[in-house]
Amino acid sequence: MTPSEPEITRREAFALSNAGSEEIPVCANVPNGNNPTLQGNVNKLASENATQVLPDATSFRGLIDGSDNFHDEPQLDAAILYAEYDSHRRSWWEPRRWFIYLFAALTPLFLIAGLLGLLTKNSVSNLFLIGAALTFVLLLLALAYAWFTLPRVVSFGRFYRRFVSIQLDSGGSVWVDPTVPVPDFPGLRDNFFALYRDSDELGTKIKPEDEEETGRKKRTLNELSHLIAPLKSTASMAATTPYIQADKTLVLDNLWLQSLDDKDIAEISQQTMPVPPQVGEIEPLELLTHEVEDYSSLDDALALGQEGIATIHNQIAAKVEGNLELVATEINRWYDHSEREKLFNQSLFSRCELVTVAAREGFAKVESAMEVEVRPAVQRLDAESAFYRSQVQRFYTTQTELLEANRDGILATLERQHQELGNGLEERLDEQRVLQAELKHLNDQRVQLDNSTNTRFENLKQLLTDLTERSYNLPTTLHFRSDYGVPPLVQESEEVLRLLTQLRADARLATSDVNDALNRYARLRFEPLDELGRLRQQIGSGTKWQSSQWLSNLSNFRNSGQLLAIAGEVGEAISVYLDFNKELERLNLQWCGLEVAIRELGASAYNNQLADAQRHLEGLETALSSLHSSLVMAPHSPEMSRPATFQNLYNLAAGLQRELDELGGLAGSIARTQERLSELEAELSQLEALISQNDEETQRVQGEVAAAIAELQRKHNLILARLEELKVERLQKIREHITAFIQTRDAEIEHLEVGLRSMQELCDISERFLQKHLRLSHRLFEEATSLRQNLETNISGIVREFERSVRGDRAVRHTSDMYVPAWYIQLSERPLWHKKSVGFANCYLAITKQETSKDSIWRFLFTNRPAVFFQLTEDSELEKLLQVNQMEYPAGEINILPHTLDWLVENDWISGWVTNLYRAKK
Amino acid sequence: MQNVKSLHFKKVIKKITMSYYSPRHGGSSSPKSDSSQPDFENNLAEFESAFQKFVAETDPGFDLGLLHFNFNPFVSENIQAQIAKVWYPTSKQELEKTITLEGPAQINAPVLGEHVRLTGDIRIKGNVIGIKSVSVGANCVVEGHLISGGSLQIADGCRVEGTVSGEEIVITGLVKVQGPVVCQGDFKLNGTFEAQSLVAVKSISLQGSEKDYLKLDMHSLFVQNGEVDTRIPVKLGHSGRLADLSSQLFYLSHASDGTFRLARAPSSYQDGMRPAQGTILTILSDVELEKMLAELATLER
Repeated sequence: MTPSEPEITRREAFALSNAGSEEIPVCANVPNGNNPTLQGNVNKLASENATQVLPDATSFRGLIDGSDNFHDEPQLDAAILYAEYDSHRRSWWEPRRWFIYLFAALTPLFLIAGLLGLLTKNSVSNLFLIGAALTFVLLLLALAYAWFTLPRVVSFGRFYRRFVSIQLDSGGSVWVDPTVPVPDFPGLRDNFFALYRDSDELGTKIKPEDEEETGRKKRTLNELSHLIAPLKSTASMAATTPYIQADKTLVLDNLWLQSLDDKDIAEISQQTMPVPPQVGEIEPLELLTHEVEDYSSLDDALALGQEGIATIHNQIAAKVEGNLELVATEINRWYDHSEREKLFNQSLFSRCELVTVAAREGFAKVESAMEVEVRPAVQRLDAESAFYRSQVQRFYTTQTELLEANRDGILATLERQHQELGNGLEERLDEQRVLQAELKHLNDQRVQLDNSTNTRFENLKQLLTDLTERSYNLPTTLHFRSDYGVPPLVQESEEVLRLLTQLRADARLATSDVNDALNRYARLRFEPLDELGRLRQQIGSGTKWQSSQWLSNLSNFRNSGQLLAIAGEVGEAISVYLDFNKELERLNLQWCGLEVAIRELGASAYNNQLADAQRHLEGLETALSSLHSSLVMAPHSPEMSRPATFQNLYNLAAGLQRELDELGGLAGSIARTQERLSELEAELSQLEALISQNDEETQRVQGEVAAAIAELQRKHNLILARLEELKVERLQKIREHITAFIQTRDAEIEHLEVGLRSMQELCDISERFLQKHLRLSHRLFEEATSLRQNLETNISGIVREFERSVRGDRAVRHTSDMYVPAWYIQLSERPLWHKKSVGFANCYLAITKQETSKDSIWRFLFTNRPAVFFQLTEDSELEKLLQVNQMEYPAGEINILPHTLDWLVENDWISGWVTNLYRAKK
Repeated sequence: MQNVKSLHFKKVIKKITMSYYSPRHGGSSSPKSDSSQPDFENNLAEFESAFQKFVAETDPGFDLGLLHFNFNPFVSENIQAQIAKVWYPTSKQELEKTITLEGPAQINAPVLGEHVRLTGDIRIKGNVIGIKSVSVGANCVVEGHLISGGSLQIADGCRVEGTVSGEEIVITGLVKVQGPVVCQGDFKLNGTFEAQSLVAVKSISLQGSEKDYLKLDMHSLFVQNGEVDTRIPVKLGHSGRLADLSSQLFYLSHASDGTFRLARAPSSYQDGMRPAQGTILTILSDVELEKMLAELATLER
């Protein structure tokens, strides 16, 4: 088959298909305007082949608009398969190729870096080499994964969908889809005409002057319910038109038509889905067509506005309009009647209500008359009752006031007494507080004075003791000794002699002086001292209080001068004793030296003198010991020689005397204060007892008076309550007949209201009757109107649609079949790992070759451009018409001839790489 | 109205007598009603003595002399000066008596009494209310409402311009009522009767000769709890159409949800008792309509 053959075949077939018709179609109206040259060709071929009548060629196949290079159908299948496959391959390759690029680039980089590191003996070279190995492994894994997930074609093929063209008597034909069921148009039409027939009599029997309202209503409702009877049984009101809409069938005109012979039809029928309808099934469609044509001619007459033409439809439609108008008028009359009835009922009801008002008025008159009758009695009762009340109140108010005045007088007296007692108590309490403070002060003072006097007394006693009993320790008298180991005093005898003489003289002189002192001492008188000692003894033997009588003696002690003289004498004697005691020792030493000197000199002559001297010395010793014993025997004190001592003594005694006097006075004060305090306490307790007595009395008076007042109040209330009670009783007695009359009135009005309710009930029932009739009739009327409108709309819609499709004026003039091709493909994909099947079908209208650059492996691998060099044009409207997405496809079959692949590659329709890939993957 | 007036009130009013007479059981009533003055007139001695006794017992120290002299006694005024004659009781003694009016007469005031009796040929321009009974003689006209708390009898040739209401209503002869008639008990007619509407609570009994009829302006005749017994024609509506007793008489029963149900026959006995039901005679509907409405009930839902 040469490349030009399909074109010729197609055009011939197109011409031949039209050859059966006597009229050549006006091709200017054909929507297929994509090939303007077609018209000329068709005309030319048609005139040339006018004799080649092929009446049997009533089947066509739709062809897509391809380039002339496309000379065979199998190549088209292959091209579509590759185009679909390539588009899926690209979407698959898009996300995966970047991993492969990355690993393929990293592997040599790491390898080179590792080798350079080995050459330079760098320590990280091992890491690079390991990285190179790792990326190489990853590259291999990615390649394996890519190969594993490469899409696979599971099934591919071409199928056909058949359309039928039905010839119309008045010219033209229409495409219909034999797979869509035909609606029950005759049934629809019968319903429509039945409606007109049934409504013919509707409302015509109504006569406004007819007074038989019941009969009118009955008839109207019966007619309406008859009218809508079909509505309740028919469910096919919403049936859609069976025809492909005109704007949608335009899609079919985009296809080229190829006439088919029996062999082609048999071949194509194998690929048609679903199974084409049997021959007899077209008949209902043809019948329907003629029905619609008949009806549309009816409608045409109306549409043209030929009022004079009395078509059946025209007549019966006008009649139905009029009848429904009649029914509507009747129903409106019912409404008016219902309104009138309602008003009448309301007036009835209001009259009945007036009865109640009138009864109330009448009863009110009698009641007011009765009230007038009893009014004087009631007023007098009120006056008497008010008089009694005021008198009782006055009496009890007076009683209460008397009681209260009495109570107030007693309470005032008690209050005054209470105040006085309180004042006395207050004064005594103040005095007691002052005295207690004073007593405390006096006690403090007494303690202080007591301590002071004790100290002074002790000091006085000590001082007296010191003065009278104390004495000095005198050194004992030295005794003459001859054994002092002293060196010889002199070396010469004359000197010895002289010294001896002097020694004797000195001894004598000393003895006489001592004796003089002794004499003077012996002449001393110690009476003042004794007197003082006696005083000390007297004072020390008793307490300080007992000593107070002696203190004046001590103060009056005048012998202090004598005591001073005694002290001087004693002191002089003591100094004499002490001087001559030392003189004795010196003389004794001198004697011993002289004795040694005499012995050494051997001057025994001087022994006598020495002995004499010794006697003198012993005499001195004797005198001294006498003096010593005298001095030791008599008490004395050097203090006496000081005048300050006595002054001190006097001061002490005088102070003690004075303080003792004070202490005595203080004790008296304290005793007096304590006495006064005890008196005050007795007075206070007496006053408190009086006050409590006063309080008790006050409470007693108050309680008694309150009880009396409460009793009065109780009586008062009791009498008033009884008065009120008696008054109410009396009033009830007076108004007894009025109360009974009011009860009668209430019962009567209740009776009237019961009657009112009965009347209202009657009105309600009447109104409900009317409303029920009205509602139903209104509803029926609406149903009938809508039924008529629906039927008319439906039928006129079908007719209008049919007419529109006829006016498309197709070239096909015979009842014929048209096969429209579609391609399905099913792929097995692995988006990540799991397998997924993708299946779809497409319709194409055209295929166009594109000029592209030469193919190469680099371009194939490193770009995402398509590997097919042509463009396929899809049509979604056609897909919808064929319902390709709802078909079921055979699985596992790939209907494509093997040599078509090579043909496509050789003629630069596709890249060789995708062929290789497809073959390898397949 | 002019015709009726000329028919019944051509006579000149001759005299008006009004007499009070004792009620049916008046002779044996309480002695209080026999005294010339009612017991509330100047009779507070009982009250005073009771009160003073109580005071003396309650408080012996109370000075009873305080209660003896009321220096401001209430002076009763005679406010009952009668200006015009009234036709209703104005005192206790009159309350239980019967008002009897004898005609021919014209009364220009409302009439109210325990028992009201109009002998005949009387025209009353006002309402007539009888607490226990009303009896209207022949050829009377009431230009107001006629209300009775008990029995109500209307004689031949009477006309009422307002509403008629009573417990038991008995009508004899030709009577016309321009307003509605409400009867709380049984309604009995022996003659011809025209009214705006008629409602009875217990029953309606219509009897008379062949010429007699009952005519109502309303489209329905309603008995709330009872039945209609009619032997004379019944004309309903303004057009006076004759009601068909065989097809337009319904028994009405109330459902618990407030709706009503109409039936051709009385509802059946339940537990030996017939449920409370009314009767309605109407020209508004019929059984066929009800059937059809029941058939079409599916559309209504």
